[in-house]
Formats: sequence, structure tokens, C-alpha cells
Amino acid sequence: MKNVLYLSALVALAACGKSDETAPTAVLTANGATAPAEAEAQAGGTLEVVLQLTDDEALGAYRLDLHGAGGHSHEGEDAEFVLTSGGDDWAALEVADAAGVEAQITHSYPIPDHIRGHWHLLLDATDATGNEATTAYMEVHVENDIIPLFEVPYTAEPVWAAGTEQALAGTVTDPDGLTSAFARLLTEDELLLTEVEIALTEGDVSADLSSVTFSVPSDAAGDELEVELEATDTGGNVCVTSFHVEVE
Amino acid sequence: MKHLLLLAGAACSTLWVSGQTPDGDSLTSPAWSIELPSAAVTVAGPWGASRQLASSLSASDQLVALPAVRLAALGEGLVQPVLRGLQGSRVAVLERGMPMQGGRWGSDHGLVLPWHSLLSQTIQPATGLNRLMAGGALAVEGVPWLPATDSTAVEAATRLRHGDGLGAVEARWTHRRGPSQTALELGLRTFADRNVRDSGFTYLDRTLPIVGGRLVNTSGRSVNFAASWRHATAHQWELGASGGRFEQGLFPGFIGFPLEADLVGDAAPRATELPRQIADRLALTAQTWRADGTHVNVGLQWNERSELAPPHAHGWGPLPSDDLSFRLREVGAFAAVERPVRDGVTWGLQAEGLVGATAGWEFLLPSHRRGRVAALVGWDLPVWQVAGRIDLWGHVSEGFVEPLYAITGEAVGVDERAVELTRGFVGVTGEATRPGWRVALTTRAPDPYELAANGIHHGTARFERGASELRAEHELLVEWGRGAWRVWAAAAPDFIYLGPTASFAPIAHAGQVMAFEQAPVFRTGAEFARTWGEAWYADVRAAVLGAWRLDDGMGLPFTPPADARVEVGRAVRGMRIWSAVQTQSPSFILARNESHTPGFALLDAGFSAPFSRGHLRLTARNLLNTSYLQHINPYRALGLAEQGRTIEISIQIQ
Repeated sequence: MKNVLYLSALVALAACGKSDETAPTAVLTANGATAPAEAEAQAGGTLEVVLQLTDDEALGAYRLDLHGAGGHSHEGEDAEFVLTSGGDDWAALEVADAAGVEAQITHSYPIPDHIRGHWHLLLDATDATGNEATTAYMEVHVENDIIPLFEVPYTAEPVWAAGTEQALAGTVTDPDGLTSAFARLLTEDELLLTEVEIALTEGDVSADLSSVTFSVPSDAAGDELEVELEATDTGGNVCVTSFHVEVE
Repeated sequence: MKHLLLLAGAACSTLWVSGQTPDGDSLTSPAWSIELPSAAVTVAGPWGASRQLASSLSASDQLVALPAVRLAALGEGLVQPVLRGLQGSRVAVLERGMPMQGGRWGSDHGLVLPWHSLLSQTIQPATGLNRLMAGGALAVEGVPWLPATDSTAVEAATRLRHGDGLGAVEARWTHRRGPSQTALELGLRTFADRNVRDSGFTYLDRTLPIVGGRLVNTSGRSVNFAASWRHATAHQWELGASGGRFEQGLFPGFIGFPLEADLVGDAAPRATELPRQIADRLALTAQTWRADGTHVNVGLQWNERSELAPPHAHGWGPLPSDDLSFRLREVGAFAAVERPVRDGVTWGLQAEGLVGATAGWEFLLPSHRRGRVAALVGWDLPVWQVAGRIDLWGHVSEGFVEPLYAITGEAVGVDERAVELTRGFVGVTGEATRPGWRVALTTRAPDPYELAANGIHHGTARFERGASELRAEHELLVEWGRGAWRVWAAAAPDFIYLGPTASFAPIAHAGQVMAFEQAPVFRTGAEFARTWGEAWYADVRAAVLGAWRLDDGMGLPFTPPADARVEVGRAVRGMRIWSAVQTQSPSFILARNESHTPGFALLDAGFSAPFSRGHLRLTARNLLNTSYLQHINPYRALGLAEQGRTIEISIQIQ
């Protein structure tokens, strides 16, 4: 009987139909750079995205996802420590069908004036059978010459000890001149613990952050705190950025 | 060894009460046989005895000791049995003869059962006409053991586990006076965040860290109780109640993309925060067995499962005002009668009803109602046993719409997530068995989730969509066994499964849409189990399974890879020391777009010894702290590794 069962299995499998198992291909280009290379962009400008999709039988759909790079990474890279402004203010999600065996699709995204930092751009595609292409992924670096620029020397989230005094490091600059700058310490729930005005004279093009000292609450061990930095230049352009601090 | 088995047997009484006579009798079914004397506990049957039972007596350990049976562990006390690659509504789990219905909005969701308890245990396939309950799948039913003579006893057990920090306390009181038997049981357990060896995971191409060797917010706690009273004369009565609550945090990666800060955790690995899930269950049953063989069984059950999450919106809508992401509340009723009409012939009727109501700000499944009535007949011939069932199913589910928002937050239309649906199904199930052989033709109606789901299912991290046009599925199964071997093959022209579509979910943080479809499918498998020796012994079990679509040759999703377990041990004067290697092959049968799962080998070891009033066990699992993934576990989609090394000490006192 065993033989009968095995025979029936073999017959059944031999009778199997074959379907399209070949995944489509997806090529992603942004501002002239092709994934996985990084794309450069300027705040106030546009991000021109070109998608090239191909399949041996028929395309199905695609999904283009632009989102802020904060707090995660792709393709096994370590997440970079980057000061980002307006990370949640610029995003896009395109989901649409695609037809034929080849398609070139373009999207153009205006970049807000007030953002700066790293964004992620991903392209997924399917064919009509449901086979999914390898994700095309690239980083988009948005430079900004409009708003003030904060720079800090950290390469990862700083670790502070509870109950200690911690001075910031770094600078804030703006070629047009600064009018005000603040540093704030907030809880995970964004409750304000401390606000410090950064010392500067109106019109200064730079200021040192080392004048800012925070008292880390003694009961914050094990918590995450957030340092928020805000500066306004003489043109009224505002930069707001932040980073997390681990408290031990 | 004999003393060990005596003690083990004495400790294995259970409140899982079925209609079978328990006291020392051998319970048999076409598939398995479980002997329940007070002297020994052995799961036997077509695969032979399983020695593992002597080292670990929980019901879940009994199940996984059987070839081709797996448990997708979704939390301590929350498990999903996977039998020959089948799960969800294809596997009937009976509680005192009543099929558990609730709490399973996705096929991955487990059942709230005290299966990990050291006291509540002993599982057997459904017997009588109930064996047709699950169609082609194996039904699982708890079996009782109550004292044979007048007595009052208290048993207790405790477990402490290094690794995931499990702590459990269980106690049971049993009393028998004349024909009246009463049992009460209570179990409490708590566990910390799961310890794993990995340092990261990947979801939808985004790689995130795992900090400190633990999966943040996967800790939890549970409580379960059971009570039963049986009056056993020529005309027997039994009343039973059971229930429990299970709470567990959900790893932040299940609810959208977590920030790295969410994954750091804190100094309290037992604390649960949002997101988290709560599952509650209460079941009440009453059964009677008359002297003429008539058996009547009625029951009620209430199941509620809630997912709580930080308010978030997929898309551009406003943030919700509370934490209730999704809740499924189901109330079910069951009634069955079986009556022998002449030698070898039994007929039966069954009726089931289910009312399910959903709530929460994240739509996945509409509210629904479902009913089933069935007529059954069993006929014991000189060689063959034949049984058949005709079912009528009715399904009604409600429509559901929600506003569709633009990026500005403005409502710009309506998103219709479910349409009103009324469906009916008719099916025939038949089974013929004889020693060594089983032939079954089964029919299963699509369940509410398969018909009407449409949303992000956080349990599988996918957007899943039902198909209202699904038909009932049918399968023909042939099974043959001799000695330690068992082989089987099944063909289904209209097997229902979840496959990828060409579409992407139209909302952020969701990937390709998965939709239920039907296709001709062929499944086959072979199983082996055998023990050699007594004082020195070796126990081997192995299973291989294949499942393919016949129209395109692709595999079915979540097909368990081939696996084997080899245990060697030495038993001396009641003490036992053993070591086992559990291996699993790489996943060689994959569905379209399904990711490959590497193979693995785990090393376990244990020691057990009796003492004057109980038993002590020391068990180490995954001794080498191997990082591995289970192909059948839906959490694999996130690359979340399975449990790392644990070392457990347990004490049972009688």
C-alpha cells in the first residue's frame, strides 16, 4: 500500500501545472541616483522619482514608500545618528496598478522648506501572479540652506546617568544670523522638564551649545529622554530638531 | 522506573473531562490510544509509545511528543496546535466534548488553555462520533482522571524557569465519595520578556535592534481554573466549568514600525505595556450518559480577545481616542446527542451557534453570526468502522464602512471594509477505519475570517483579506500504518489558503495584500516513532510532510519542514537522566513569496527523581542557546527568533 501511496503522490505531482514563478524587477531612481546609491536633494526643491518595472509576463502593482529615517534602518545597516528636522512632515505613499511587461512611472515630490536630514525611499512591485520583486531601497539626503543648522558630535544616542548634570556639545549656525535658540529636555511622553535659552546676541551666525546644562532627574533611570533644539534666524526661518538620550 | 511511572501516573490526573470512563481504562480511537491507569501514562498508537512523557508531563509536551504534531507557541498558555500542517478551524479542540470556538480571529491565534500545566494534562483524539468533528484533521480532547476509590487529595506543583523567568503555581483538590466525584483546580503563572540570542529583526525591509537579549514587552501572566462534578452511577451526570484570563504584552514590532527607543525596554522585564493582548474564556458544560448508552452534551462558552495599542492611524485619519485597537467577543452554544440504536449502530445530532461581535478602531473582521446543525451515524462492522455526518452551515456577517481621509486629515469619502454577507453551505463527511487503515472524505465550510476579514492582522504582520465567494472545501484522505510507521496522502480540489495577491495594501506600514483563495492541493506525509530498551533506552520520532498546489506546483504556506527527535536516557531506581537532540530541516516547500527558514538542531537534557511525597524534575531546553526560527510560527515574518535557552526546575507534591 505504501507503494500505491507514493505512486499516487508522484503521479499527482507530475500532473502539476506550472505557473509564473519569476519575480518582476524594480529599478528606483531619484534625482539622478539609482538605488542603492543615495540621492541628494535640497529643501525647497523637488525629488524626482523614476520607477522602471519589468516582468516576463505581466506586471501587477507597485508601492512607493517615502518616510523619515528616524529610529530604524533597512537592509541590515545600523541606524545612523542623524539630526533630522521635520522627519514626520514629509512622507509619501503611492500604491497603484501597473500594466504590460514594462513600465516607466515618474513621481515628483515638492520638498518642504523646513526639513533637513535623511529619508528612506522604497519601491516594491508585484507581477499579476503575485510574485514580489526584490525591494529597491535608497536613502535620500535632504540638505537645507534655509533654516538654522544644529550640529552635535554624537555618533549614537548619548547615555546619561540619572541624577547628574549634563552639558550639551555642538553648535548652531545660520549665515543670515540667529535671533533666538532654545534647548529643552522632555520626557518620553513629551512633558517639558527643562527649557534653557542658548546664549547669543541677535545677529550671531553661530552659538555654542556647551552653555546648556541639564539636570537629569534622579528617577529617570531606565527611561528615554528627548532633547529638543530650536533656533530662529533673522529671516524668521525656524529649525526644530531633537535626539533621544538613554538614562542609566 | 516502575516507581517513576507510578508517581508520574498519579500526578497526571486532569480536569479535562470527557465522556469516557476514566478509571484505568484504555481509551482508544482509530488514530491514537492513550492509557490512563494510575500506574503509567503513555501516549501510544500508530506511532508507538513516546518516552518523552515520562520526563515532561504537561499536555503540550504530550502533543509535541507525537510525530507530525506541533504547537505554535504564542505565549505561555496560548498555543495553536498544528496537526500535519493543518491549523485554525481545521483542528477541532474539544473541551469536555464541546468544540472550542472563540478567540481565533486569525488562523495563528492560539487557544487559552492550561496546556502547559503539570497537573492538567493528558490529551487524546476525539472519540465516538466526535471524531468527525474536525473533518480530516485530528481532534484534540482532554481526558479525565479521577480517583477510583473514596478519597480526598490535594496536589500542587510549582515551576521556576531561568531564561524567560517563568514562575507557575498550580493546585488541585479532588474528592470522591461513592458515586460523586468533585475536582477543583487553579493555576497561576507569570513570565518575563522572552530571551533570545539575536540582536535584531527585520520587518518590511526595515532592520531594528533587539536590545539586551530580550524581546521587549513579551512578558505576561495568566490564571486558569477548572471545576467539575460527576455523579457516576448507571446513569451518569457531569457538570463542568473552566476558564481563565491570559494577558501578554505584544512586541512593539507587531503594531507598525517601532522606534529604536521602543525596543530598549526597561529594568522591569515582567512589566507589560502597550501594545498588549488580553484573552478571556469561560466554558460551562453539562453531560449525561444513560444506561442505554445515550449521551447528551450541552455547553455554553464565552470568549473575548482584545488587542490594546497606542492610538495610531494607518493612513491619514485622526488619532483614535482610546487604546482598544480590536476586540472580538464570541458567545457560543453547543448541543449534541448520541444514541446507540442497535448493535454497532449509533446515531447522533449536533447543533452549534456562535455570535461574534467586533469593536475597536482598527477594522479586521465584521461582526458575524454562524450556525451549524449536523446528523451523524456510526456503524461498527466486523472489520471496518464506518461513520458519516451531514452538515448544514449558515453564516451572516455585517457590513462595515469607515471614513476615507486625505493627507490633509479631511474626510474625502468612504472606505467600505466589509459588505453584508449571507451564505449557506452543505457538506458530507465520512470515515472508514480498520486496523492500520483510515479513509476519510471531509467537508469544511469556510470560517468567518476566511469569508470576511479585511485589514491588518498584527499577529502575522500582514494585510489579510477574506473572500466572500469561497466554497466549502473537500478532502479525501487515505492513511496506512503498521508498527512505528504511518503514511498518508490527501487530495483536496478546493483547499482554502491564504496567498499573495498582486496588490499592495493602500495604507501605510502594510505590505502586499494576502487573500484567501481555493486551489487543488495534494498533501502527503510519513511519520515514525519507536522506543528501544528500558533501563537504557533510545526514543526516535520523525515526520516529513509535503503540501503542494496542483495547478501551479507551488507549496502551501506554513508547511512544517521535516523534523526528528532522538532521545537517549538511563533510568535507575526511579531516577532518570536523559538527553535529546531535536532537528528540523530547512523549509524545502515554500508558497509563493514565502521566505525560507533555515534548519536547526537543539540540544535538551533533563533529570528527574522521585521523593517521598512527590517528584522533582530539572529540564534544560535549547541548552546551546541556539538562535532559530520556526517555519510554522507567524512571528517568523518579523524574523523574531524562538525561545533561547531555558533551565526549569519543577516540583510536584501529592
